[in-house]
Amino acid sequence: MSIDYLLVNAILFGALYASIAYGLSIIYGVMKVVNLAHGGTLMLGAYVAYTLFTWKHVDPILSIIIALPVFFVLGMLIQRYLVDKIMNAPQIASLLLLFGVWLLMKNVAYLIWSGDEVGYNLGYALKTVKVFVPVSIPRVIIFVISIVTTVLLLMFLKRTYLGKAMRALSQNRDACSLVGIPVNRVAQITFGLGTALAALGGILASMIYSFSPEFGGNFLLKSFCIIVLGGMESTLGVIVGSIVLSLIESFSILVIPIDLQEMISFVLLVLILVIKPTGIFGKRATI
Amino acid sequence: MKRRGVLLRGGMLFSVLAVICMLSVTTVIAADVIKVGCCLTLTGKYSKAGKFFKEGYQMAIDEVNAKGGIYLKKLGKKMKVNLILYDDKSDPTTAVNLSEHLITVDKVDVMLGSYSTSQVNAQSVVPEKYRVPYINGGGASSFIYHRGFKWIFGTLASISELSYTEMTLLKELIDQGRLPKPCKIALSWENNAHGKDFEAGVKKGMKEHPGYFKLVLDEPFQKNTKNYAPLLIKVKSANADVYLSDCHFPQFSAQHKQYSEMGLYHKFVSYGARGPESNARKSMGEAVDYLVAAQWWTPLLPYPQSKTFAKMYKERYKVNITEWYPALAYETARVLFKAIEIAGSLDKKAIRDALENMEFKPSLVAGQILKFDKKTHQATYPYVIVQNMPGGKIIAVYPKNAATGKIVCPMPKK
Repeated sequence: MSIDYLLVNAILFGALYASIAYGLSIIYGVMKVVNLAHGGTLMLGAYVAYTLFTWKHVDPILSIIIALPVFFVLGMLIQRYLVDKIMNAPQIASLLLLFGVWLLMKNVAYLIWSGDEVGYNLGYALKTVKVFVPVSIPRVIIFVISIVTTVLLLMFLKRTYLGKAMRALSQNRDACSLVGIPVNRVAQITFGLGTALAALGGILASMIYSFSPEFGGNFLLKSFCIIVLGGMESTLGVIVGSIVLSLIESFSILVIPIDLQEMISFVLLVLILVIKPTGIFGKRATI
Repeated sequence: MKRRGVLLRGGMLFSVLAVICMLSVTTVIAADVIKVGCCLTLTGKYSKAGKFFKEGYQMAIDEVNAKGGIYLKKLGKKMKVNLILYDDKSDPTTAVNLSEHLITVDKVDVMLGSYSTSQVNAQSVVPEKYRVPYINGGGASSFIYHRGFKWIFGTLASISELSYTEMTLLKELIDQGRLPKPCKIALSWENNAHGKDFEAGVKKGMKEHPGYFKLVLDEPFQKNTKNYAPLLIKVKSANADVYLSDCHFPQFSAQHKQYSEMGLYHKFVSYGARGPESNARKSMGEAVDYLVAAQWWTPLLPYPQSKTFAKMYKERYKVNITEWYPALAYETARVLFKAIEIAGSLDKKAIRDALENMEFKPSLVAGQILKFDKKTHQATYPYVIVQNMPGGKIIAVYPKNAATGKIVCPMPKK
């Protein structure tokens, strides 16, 4: 059995998982809102990359630069005109609302792109480089972008005023209001950032997967597992959760049949919620 | 008050119109006609296939109506066919509800089926309950036909037949010395009825040709798998000559990308029915060269009736036909009309019996004869096997009477 390939593959997949889970984690961390529209945003991100590639042959890396501001604004609008209206309602209201937004996104995608399974062929899609084992260039790109995103996100949260405001909001919304932090504005930016990060995850995933309007649901479930595993309010926890999940999924084939591989994330989700609900990084971790 | 009444009446009229529009895509009701009920996946995730099925059904209906309809001997007259078509939105529950509506409200005489195993499996319960002849060309999984149903027929040969046809081809390649004997096979399949059928066909082929094959890997995987590396590492370790994997398009796409990236090589690679799709070439380029796939129908088939159908399709829809869906839909409707003609009336039992004993020829499918297994009512005929060639060309390689080129095996190393 190629242990080296399993290890490299697990790390690369971990990076993709992390990119996909950041958006969900940051929105939950700051606003305590479970963004069920996350799967839909992933899907729309993938379609934007596909459309730009097939229309003007825009490389998905460039698509990121074009798409992220658009999705950031979309996220802000969703927060401003939908989520904000029900912030004081029971959490089930936001769950249902965002589930509705996801369904809307799916149906819009069906109308625009139909239900066909699509993908695009990057000229370098199947070219490989040796990173201990042969790895395709898109997967190296995904890994690099994921690392860059992680570093930038951590720096933003630790070193900027806005990042500090978001961290403060994640701890105590009322106290933030008392000390003059513009809570609503920070919440909008957080939702915008989370939506843009979800779109980034979708664009990256579209480089290696084909997709349809149903795309995103499976990754949403994995994202839940990752943020529960790493600690629901921790950026660092997302990275660790992603790598841990990916390692367990990859190496599990040594002891369990492959068709049980997809079950692992859900078993982990249940186990962590029962044994250590705060995740690997415990209570003290914050975004 | 008056204004309120106008508004109320206007609202009611609008509601009625809206309901009619929602329910009926094409509803033609006439007194002296054969009413054929159908709901198709015109929107939703199977919309592409649904539209192809609509095209195929419509071609067959227009063809028979152009001849004045179907002659019903016992009634002594020809009757035209009217299609009552609804959109099931690719949702099995909607398909069930609409099927109930077709039978109890529209009072259809016979039914044509929807597309995809899930839709057919769900909706077929309704015509079975009301004893209405139902025939579909969109559900291939054998479990649809192993429920002891008497009124349900399917024109797609089973998935086990698909893999069995591939095994027959492999046996020929071994006999020709192009593959070693015993030939080591690595097999993976989606852990569902589709995949289990595929596995059954492979095992049937192995049993019928003892000494020819050795199964070195037999691994199911989940349909929602995203990371295929663990599976492919097992495939690599199995050191097989042939890799057979049964999957749907998204799984094929994700798996074969990783297969190519890992630099895996087998002398013969097939993902069941996947590989020749234009989307595969678009998303994977030359990585799909030399993949072998089994199809229910391909425009490459050299039979005159097949060529005529492809020509008719092009004339009508102004595009070359590349997919099997319209052909099987057309064939499904033609088989139903033939059964009505044989029955000579609209007696449902007589139509059912005619379908059961049908031997439809010359058919578009490989082998040119379409008939149903007496017990399961699923069609039995060999698949046509195609191979992707460099530059986007596709050739038919099996059976011999349908071949348009010689199979490249072992496939060249890239």
